Amino acid sequence: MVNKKEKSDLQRNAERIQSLIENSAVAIYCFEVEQPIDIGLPINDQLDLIYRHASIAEANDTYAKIAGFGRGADMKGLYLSKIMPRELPENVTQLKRLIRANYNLTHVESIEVYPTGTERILLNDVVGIIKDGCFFRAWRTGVDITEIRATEQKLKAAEQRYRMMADFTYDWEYWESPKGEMLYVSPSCERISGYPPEAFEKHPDLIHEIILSEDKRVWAAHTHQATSKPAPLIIAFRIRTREGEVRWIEHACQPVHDAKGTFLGFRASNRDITSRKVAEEELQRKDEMLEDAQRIARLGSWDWDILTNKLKWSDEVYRIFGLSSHTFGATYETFLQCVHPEDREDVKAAVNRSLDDPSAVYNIVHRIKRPDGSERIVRERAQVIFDDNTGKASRMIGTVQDITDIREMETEAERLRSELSRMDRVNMMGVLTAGIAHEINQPLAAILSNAQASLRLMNRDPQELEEVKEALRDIISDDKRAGEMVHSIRNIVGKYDLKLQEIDLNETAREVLLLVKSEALNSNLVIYEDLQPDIPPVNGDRIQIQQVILNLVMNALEALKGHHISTPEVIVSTRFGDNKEVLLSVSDSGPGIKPDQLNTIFDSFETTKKGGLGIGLSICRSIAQRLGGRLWAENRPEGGAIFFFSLRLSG
Amino acid sequence: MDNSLPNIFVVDDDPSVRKGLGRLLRSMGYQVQTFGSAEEFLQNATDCHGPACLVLDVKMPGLDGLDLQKQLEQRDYVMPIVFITGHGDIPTSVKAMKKGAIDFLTKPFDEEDFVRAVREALDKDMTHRRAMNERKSILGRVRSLTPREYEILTYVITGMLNKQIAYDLNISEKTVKVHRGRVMEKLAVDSVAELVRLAEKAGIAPAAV
Repeated sequence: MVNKKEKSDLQRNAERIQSLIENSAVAIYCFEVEQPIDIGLPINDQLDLIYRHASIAEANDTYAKIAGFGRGADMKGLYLSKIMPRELPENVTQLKRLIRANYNLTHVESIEVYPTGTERILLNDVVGIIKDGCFFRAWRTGVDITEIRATEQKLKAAEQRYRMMADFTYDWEYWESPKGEMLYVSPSCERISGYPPEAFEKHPDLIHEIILSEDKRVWAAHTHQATSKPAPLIIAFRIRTREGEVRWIEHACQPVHDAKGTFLGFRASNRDITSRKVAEEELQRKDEMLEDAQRIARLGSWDWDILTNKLKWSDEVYRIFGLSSHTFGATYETFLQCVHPEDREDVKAAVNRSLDDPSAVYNIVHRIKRPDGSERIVRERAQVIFDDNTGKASRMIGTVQDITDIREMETEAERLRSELSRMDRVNMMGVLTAGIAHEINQPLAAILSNAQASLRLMNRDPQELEEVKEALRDIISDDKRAGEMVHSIRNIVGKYDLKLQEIDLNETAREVLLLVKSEALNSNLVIYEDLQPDIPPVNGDRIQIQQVILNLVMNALEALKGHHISTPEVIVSTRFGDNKEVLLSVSDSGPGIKPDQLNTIFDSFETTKKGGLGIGLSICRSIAQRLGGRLWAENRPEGGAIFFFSLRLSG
Repeated sequence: MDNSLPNIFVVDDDPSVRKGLGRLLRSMGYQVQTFGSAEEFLQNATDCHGPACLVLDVKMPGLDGLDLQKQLEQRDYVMPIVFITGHGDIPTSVKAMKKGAIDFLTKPFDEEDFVRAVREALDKDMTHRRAMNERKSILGRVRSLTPREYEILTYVITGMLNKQIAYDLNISEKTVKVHRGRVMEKLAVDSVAELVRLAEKAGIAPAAV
């Protein structure tokens, strides 16, 4: 029993509490169960009972507002299942937590989902009333922290975004505090330097340590400058990575300040520019190589912009022309000044031709005159570039090569070749000496006999003048015969200048056969002539053609010697072939040529002959080739070898 | 052709040489026959009675000079040969000389050498012909001897005395004397010495005792 005053006190208290609850900014509500719940029951059973029996006993407007109901009073009697529908797992989780904590929770966050679909996050205190091991009712206060959490979430997302950006920058970014601590180092540093960000954070001087000693100076100078300079400073240096590799780094840094102008340290980016540096070095190396190549090959290059008449010469061009690149500006006119005066008109004509005619090939050899008066021979090749629109020559690019030495070597080689060729002829003549002496002695003997006979005939009485005249005529013709012989020997043995002319191959062959006739006779061998009459003249040098025939015939005779051949014979024949060439062949009935030697016999110093130089056939083949003909060997089906010498028709 | 004039055969494959030598030899008063090859000579050379010789080129197509010399050796008499060559080599000349060649001249040769060689060849031929004629007449006379007389002759030229001959032949010394007188008479000699020389020329061998 309570008295009135007590009752009124209680009333007042209740009203005060009521008003406190009503006006609290904190959500407050009380829910009670129709039947007390045994807190010893399994959690799910308790949960079932709560959902079946719990209803709102008291709720303030704040809570009503949060939960999406009008006023707190309106919520009275609402079953909990209406406010925290069981279908939503967050609510179930929430309640289970409460049951597990014996209906007493402080400072716990909960996510509540209301029938309106509104989801709120509350920070709660729940005080359950438990009597005799049974739950009766619970008071709950909650602060809506949904907005706070959302802001927090946003902040976190923003932070993550910036971190993502920083962490995934390709370059190695860092921020160094004014005290020299590493406030941030991007993970890319590991890709570039091999060291993880922590290594730099723990040991800010690491970056200085991994710079190559030769580049440390660059770093030192820059740190000094960076502090005083507000604009970004860019330097490049090399580091040695943790793996020992050398990398080129481009470093950009700048002091940073906040809005109030407080110095916040340095922001820096390190970019790996190794591949760019390598490419640069490669380019430079290629430039140097080209330069070296030009110098070694004595080949310069030039580029002439025809419209502006600007002529670019490589260093080698200046060297070839004996000019200094510092004192001499290149133009077409300067170039023409360098050309030997006697060749200038030809060069001009060649240039003009290629500027006018896109199909013309600019490939000329001319002399140049250097300022010191010396002369050089150069070969120039060039290409003209024509403008697509106007069709006019716009640019000409080309090369100039100093071929003076090459020319001299060629001349020397030519001289040696002709000397070697002469040696071969002299050598053959040496072999033929006996036979040739025989051939010359014949007419000499006849001349002597005729002269002596003439003297006797003159001394007779009466003088037999008719007979003397006859003898004198014979002397003249025999003398001519001997003279011709000597002449052709001198031709073959002596030095001479190559003379390309029309040659009667039959006549040339007969002359040669005259020289070897006695040689053949000495060895009891016979040479047969099978010369096709009326073959057209060929183009060539008489002596060279004779040299080839002589070699072939002597080889054929040699092949027959020392072998017991029933019918030793050599056949020299000429034929007019189909494909505009005349063919001379020399065949013998000797043992033939081993198949694997059919080609090697034309190599130098291949010889089977005693005392042979081994150059005869090689010289012959090169003679044949130079005359535009061919020389080859085959074996005859009937035995023995046959050599073919083809020559081009003249004209 | 005058058969009594000296006859010279020239064999050379070179027509100029042939012509020149022919002219030279004719200007010296010889009769000349020229041939272009050994074969032609063997076929066409006409025999003659006067002194003769052969001027022969060594190197020729077909049969050469040495071959021809060899062929002529097969006959009973080889005409003296003067070899001529465009290019002399010692082995060939030695071979030719050993076989009895008169000389081996290298073209072009001196007229003097040539004339001397040709004369020598002709002399040799003449001597040979003379010896042949003499032998022919001796053999004619020898043929008139009886077999016994011929036998006595072979004994006499050994230098044996009549007595020894008689003893050897088992006949009387007188018979030997008669036969010996007949032999001397038939062969027209006056002394034993003359008889011996004649027998030698005729190629009669002394009796083997």
